[in-house]
Amino acid sequence: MSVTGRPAGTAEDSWERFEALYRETRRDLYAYVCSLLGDPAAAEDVIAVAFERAYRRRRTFDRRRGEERAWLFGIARNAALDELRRRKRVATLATEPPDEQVAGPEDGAEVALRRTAVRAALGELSARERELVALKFGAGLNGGEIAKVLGMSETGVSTFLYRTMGKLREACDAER
Amino acid sequence: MQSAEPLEPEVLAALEAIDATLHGEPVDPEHAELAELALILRDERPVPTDAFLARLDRRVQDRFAAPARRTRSWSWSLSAHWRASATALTALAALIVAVVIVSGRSHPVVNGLTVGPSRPTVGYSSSSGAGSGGAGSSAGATSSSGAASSAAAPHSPASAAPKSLSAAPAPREGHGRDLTQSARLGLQARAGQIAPVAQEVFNVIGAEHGVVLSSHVTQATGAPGYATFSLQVPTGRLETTLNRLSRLRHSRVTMREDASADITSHVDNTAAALAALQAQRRSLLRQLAATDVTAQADRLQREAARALAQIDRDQSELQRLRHRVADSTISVTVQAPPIVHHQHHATGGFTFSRALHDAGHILLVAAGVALIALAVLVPLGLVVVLCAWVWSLVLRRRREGALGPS
Repeated sequence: MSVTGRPAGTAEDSWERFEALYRETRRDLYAYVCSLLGDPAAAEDVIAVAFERAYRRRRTFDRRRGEERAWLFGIARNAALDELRRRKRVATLATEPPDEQVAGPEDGAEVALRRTAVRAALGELSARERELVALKFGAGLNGGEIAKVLGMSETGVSTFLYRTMGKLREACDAER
Repeated sequence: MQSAEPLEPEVLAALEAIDATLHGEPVDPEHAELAELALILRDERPVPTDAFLARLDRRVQDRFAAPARRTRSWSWSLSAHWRASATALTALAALIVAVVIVSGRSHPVVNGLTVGPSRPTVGYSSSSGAGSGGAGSSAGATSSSGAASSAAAPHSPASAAPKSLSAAPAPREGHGRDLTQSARLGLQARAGQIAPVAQEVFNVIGAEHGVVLSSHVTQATGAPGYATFSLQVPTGRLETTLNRLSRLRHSRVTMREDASADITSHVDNTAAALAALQAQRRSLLRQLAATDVTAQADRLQREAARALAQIDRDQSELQRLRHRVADSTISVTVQAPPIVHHQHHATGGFTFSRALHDAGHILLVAAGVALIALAVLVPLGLVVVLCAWVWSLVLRRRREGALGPS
């Protein structure tokens, strides 16, 4: 569902746009914030705060500064970082998978091993690299959107992602 | 993946393989391992529980009505706090500007320097009482000359001096020095405002129990206005008088000079000479009473007469010196530019050229005001933008500090 390209109109129109954005991004946003905080309960609170802030500020959204998805993820990122600061702890990516993410019986032993190696390799990345992975693979943002969220250039994001994937592959190979 | 700068082909191919994998498209076998890694990473992403999504859906449908209160109140109180701070800062800035403006008006600027109440240190206490003598105010703005004696003059220290002076020195005020004080004041009046300024000068002098020794006021159409005043006020009221003259409604100060001279030795010498002459005369009179010789009596009478004449001169001199100490002189010069009468103003009525002229004048004034406003607002705006930019950077760094070292 696309929420971009529609002109700002009445209050009801802006509400519809917000609701569409919410439907489109809630799972992606959760994946990103939960990866950033490493705490599903805290992630739920932060997600709620982020959507509420976005709702309050929906009229101030300026399309010239980026698409709505990047804008919303920026709000969520600030809320998550504020939460991290409040808790006085360094962000850690959840290296332990949630219960529903455990490899199922249909997965082969090789795939299970591979997944375990990837989780271990993720733990060796820096917080910023884990955040990049969360934005790319957890939230499914494209390079331009990630650049907006992180305040980097698109080329910088590409290079950063390429290097991070290289590190992950090396770490996975070392784990196996 | 789009980028503004060219990426290395190897990097570009790897990123395209990742994007293709995530979109379910086939990739080159060369990137199979990378594609597998991308799929695992995507599958590893946390998934929200249905219960949480249901709760969130309800809150969104309610448009964050009730549960939003906590966050809204927090953000509202934060913004209210900022608003209160901004209001207080604005009020403070306005207060400072007002104080600066008021203090600037109360201390007229003379040749770029602020002339305050400071003046040469003298031993006389300044009286701030403003009487309502009013004498001199009726002299009119076109008076030419003369010693217009103030009705309040008898109250001045000068008039309180004894008519017949004794040789004993009068008690001195302050630090026991006899100082003469004088001042010169230059005023600039607006065009055509010479007469009102002159009237204000007369009013001030009357109120301060002073005397207008002389005045000259000239005001003619098309010519610059000019007025001079020679004033005398009790020394104790000199400071007050100067301050009031500096704040006349229709003029501003362009020049002020204060001068003082110590004439203590002169007064003391004159008093001593007078005492000696009086003693000499008394001695001569005693000798005259005691002598029987006609020739000697004639000589003593002549000497006593000469001593008396000298006593009169010294008494006059002493009285003059004490007047100079008790009364201070102020010389005031007022200038005003000539009154310019535009032709169309004199004739009245509406003409196109007059309207055009007035419109041009208004535009000129508006442009000037806009320029001044810009001169103030542009630097202020730049400072505000710079501060906001620095603040956003600091805030971003603080937040990203929570991620720990990269």
